[in-house]
Amino acid sequence: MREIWTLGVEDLVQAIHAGELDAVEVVRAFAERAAEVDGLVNCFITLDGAAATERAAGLGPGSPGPLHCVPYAYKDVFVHGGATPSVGSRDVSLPVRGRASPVLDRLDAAGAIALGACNLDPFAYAATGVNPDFGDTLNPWDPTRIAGGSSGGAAAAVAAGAVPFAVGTDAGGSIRIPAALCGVTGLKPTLGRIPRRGAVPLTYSQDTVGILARSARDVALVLGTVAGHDPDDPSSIPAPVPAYAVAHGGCEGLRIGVDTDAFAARTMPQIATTAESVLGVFTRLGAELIEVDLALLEGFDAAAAVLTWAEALAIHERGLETQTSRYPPTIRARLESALAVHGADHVNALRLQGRSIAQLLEGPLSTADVLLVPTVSSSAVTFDALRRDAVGVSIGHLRLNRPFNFAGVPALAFPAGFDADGLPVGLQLVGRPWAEEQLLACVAAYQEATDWHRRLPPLPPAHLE
Amino acid sequence: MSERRRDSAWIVAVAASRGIALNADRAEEIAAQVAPTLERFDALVAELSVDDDIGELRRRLVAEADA
Repeated sequence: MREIWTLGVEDLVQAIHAGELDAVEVVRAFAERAAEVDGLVNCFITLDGAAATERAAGLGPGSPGPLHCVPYAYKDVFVHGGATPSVGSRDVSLPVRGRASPVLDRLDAAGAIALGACNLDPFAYAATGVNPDFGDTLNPWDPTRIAGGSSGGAAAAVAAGAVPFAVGTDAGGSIRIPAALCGVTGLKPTLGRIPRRGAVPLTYSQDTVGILARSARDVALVLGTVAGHDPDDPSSIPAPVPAYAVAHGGCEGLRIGVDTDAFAARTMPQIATTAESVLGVFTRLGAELIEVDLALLEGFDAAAAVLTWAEALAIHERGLETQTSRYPPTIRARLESALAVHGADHVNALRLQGRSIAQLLEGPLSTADVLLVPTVSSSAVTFDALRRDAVGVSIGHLRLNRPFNFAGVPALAFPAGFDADGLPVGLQLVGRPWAEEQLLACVAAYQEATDWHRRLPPLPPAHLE
Repeated sequence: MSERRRDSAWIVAVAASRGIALNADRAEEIAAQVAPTLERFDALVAELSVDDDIGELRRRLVAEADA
């Protein structure tokens, strides 16, 4: 019998609805596991298993929702249950209007049970999982290494079996980078697909709320619950919501675009080797490989950086002025980059955003249905290596991800193997706007043919002794 | 584009105008760090026409949703 905490969303839904597992026992088992792994990898900022178990017991057996008693966690940027999020900072107080997050409300209405709020880089403005106020999130595969970020606690929690899924945010790779480094599946949806009201932003033009889980099928089940228009969210777009949970079709006949040179130039050799192996699987599953030129992403990245600098400073300018010493030096340094940017630069970056999606759709995504690109430039580095080159590590990862936030298109990061040190390596598929179903079906087919996403980190606790 | 707007004196002046404490050495660092990105950015901006509107991304996403 598998331990309950090893089960994914789909397994849990089926077992609970069939009466094979007691719903309250499921929540209790995950709560115990979450407390255990939090002590090892520091993935939570708040965790209240007793309250979660009590809520599960209070739901009762009548007409269960589609995610009845499936535990989850969320990055601590969401307003939930009237609580103001820390946004990864103990001392800086941002003026947050207490508007509840419709995403978490939808999950609660579907019967999912929140165990707690996850650790993150301060203000979601880094990609490392390092947090001077709440402690660093450690990589469950090797605690001497970073988990990535900024949704690092969420990725580590899913990888370590604390929760079967988590909700994060992604303005430049903040879901996909930690997903890749921790060996889980992470979706950054189309801009406007999932409401982001009630989540403290890093940017206004690129932030997306997304999902981390073990598998694409698990992500699909959750996406079906949280996707959909929110009239009170100006970023939300009323696009039709397919039945993701039954997304099938695999990748037969799918044209997968790859820029082989970009893999070699922008990633460690292990990532490029992994990509070759992944493409081999996709080919056997019936996909057609097409060489594409993704040089245009370099420009998107520069414009995305300018946009992020300007908008992050707009959010934090008042805080920097009045609470300067409370900002971690690394975050303050990133915020200060925006001082070189003019108001006209911000407007021009927004104008370039419209051009970017056109260039992508009329360029590489006109000859290919989806693109296979790296998510990270290397597997997880040690904390020592990060201290030696914090900017280089972050930029190396961000530049692979930011271009797709800038263009507003969906991207799905998935585990694609392990390197020589036994660390997860992740890649991502990128699609046209609203093509989440296609990405999920394709990765689901890949995950039926491989077992990378089923492997569990060696916790607890032998490797920590 | 003029180089001057990115130099450390400019950055110090902007910081002062926004109430943010910043010394000249740090401003030099910032100017050097952001220069490569802003150079690439300026090259892209030079290709924009006045018809490139800030609402285009959303318009395109809505159009794709309706397609």
